[in-house]
Amino acid sequence: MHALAVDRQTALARVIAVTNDKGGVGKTSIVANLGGQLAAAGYRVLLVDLNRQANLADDLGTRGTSVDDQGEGLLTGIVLEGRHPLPVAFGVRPNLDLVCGGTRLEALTPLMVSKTMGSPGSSGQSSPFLALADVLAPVAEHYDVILIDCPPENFILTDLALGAARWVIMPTKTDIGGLVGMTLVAERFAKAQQINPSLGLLGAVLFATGTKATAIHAAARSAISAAFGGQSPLFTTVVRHAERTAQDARRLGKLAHELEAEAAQQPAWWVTLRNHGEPQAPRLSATAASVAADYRELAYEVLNVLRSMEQAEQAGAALGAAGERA
Amino acid sequence: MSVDLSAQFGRSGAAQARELGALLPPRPPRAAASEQLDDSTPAAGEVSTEAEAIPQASADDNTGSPVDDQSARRSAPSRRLQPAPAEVDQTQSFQIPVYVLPAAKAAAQQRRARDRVTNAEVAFSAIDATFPKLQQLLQSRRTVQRKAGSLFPARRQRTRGSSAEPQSRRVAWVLQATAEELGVLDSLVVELGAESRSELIAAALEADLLTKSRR
Repeated sequence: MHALAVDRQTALARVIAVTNDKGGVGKTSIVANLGGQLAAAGYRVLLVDLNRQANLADDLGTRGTSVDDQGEGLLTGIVLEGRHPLPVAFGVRPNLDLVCGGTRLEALTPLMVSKTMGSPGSSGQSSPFLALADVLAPVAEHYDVILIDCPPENFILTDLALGAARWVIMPTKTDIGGLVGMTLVAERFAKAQQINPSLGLLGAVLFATGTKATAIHAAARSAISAAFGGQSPLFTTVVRHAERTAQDARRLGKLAHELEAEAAQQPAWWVTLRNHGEPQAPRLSATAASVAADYRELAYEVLNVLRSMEQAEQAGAALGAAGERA
Repeated sequence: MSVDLSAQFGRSGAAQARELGALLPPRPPRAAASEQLDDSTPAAGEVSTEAEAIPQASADDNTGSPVDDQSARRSAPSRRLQPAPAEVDQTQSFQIPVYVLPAAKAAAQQRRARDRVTNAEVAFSAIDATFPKLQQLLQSRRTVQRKAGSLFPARRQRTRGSSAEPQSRRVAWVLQATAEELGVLDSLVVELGAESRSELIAAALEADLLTKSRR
């Protein structure tokens, strides 16, 4: 393998693309909250938003702030093919940085189409779909984990993300739509492995499902396991459905664990009523604590799987080196 | 859906990690109490009846005050519990939500970080440590003691939920348990007359982490 490719692969060993071709399956919420949990645990985390809608900015409360460049920085970085340092919004939370998405990313799709047309891929040139990898590689060394929030139904931007990622996490709901979305990602995944052979599936996660819907969970798990030849990719953690918490999160630009902390601090409703009359602002739902616990468990499980895979890779590499010496 | 996605994706990290169990944090040994419960544990797949589920305290046990028929019936689980069948995949784990006091949750998180253990290990250690008095702890959680010498018996604790002060509102804390561990927990729930797995674990956790100096 080319030395540049090896360097890129090493630098991007902890880049995780969160993708599913279906919209509304929790990609952005998982990126924001998984990143938030890891950052709160002391890991250095970078979030990359490839969405035109940039809902990650809503989850993190950065929409319309001075750091919100609507994806201009990311677009510029890709246009200049990594010759310009990637503009990163530092410290949106302690240990958590952000590369913003937004409406400027509209230009990315036609740009990639034109690059693809001009690059047959057989002339020894690097694939245009490694553009994001080239932009991320120089900054990746500063982070323990990089999470990419992929857009739905945009295979060009998904290809860019898969070209840069070492791992993929696929959120899904319990309905058949999530599985169809996974099937569509599978096509892009196989294509991306041609330019990024180290790409692997870390796992899938059931999102926004009722905690008591155990029969539905079992049916969904069974269907997904069957679709993967009996080797279920699902993490055991399920992120529960909590509409009020989801709304609070986007309305206030807070992550679930931040809402959990605030909800725990708010006085009992009757104390507010007695002291101030009707509450000035809607109360935060105590369900935020349960949702935060789900994300915490997911983060723990993702770290465990990541560690297991890295240790297995290291053991494999050591065996390979020993074999070569022998 | 007839497509085999494993052909495109290969085996996921999550699926492989399940087979690399040795690399994951080890689960604690099966609770010491479980061996004593074998006789009262219903067979796999068999739903325990209320009569089977309520053990009578024997004279030689040290679990606290004897349990009479009425209180035993009162403390019987509100729903019938079915221990996980033995043929369930033991590498699979299941999420158990537990409602604990915020201080206990914080202490459990500290313990987890300090000892680099899982939530399950923290919970199981707490159950092991408090097992001799766990039935008593469960009963005392449910009653409000009256003044000494009162003519009236203790009343059942009122559930206050969201109207309680923040520090006394129980919050969710989640652990992952294997099918075998679930079986042990369910046996303990039945044996000790807890209302749920959550109540059992919360009683042990709060007693273990909040009432003694840090180990």
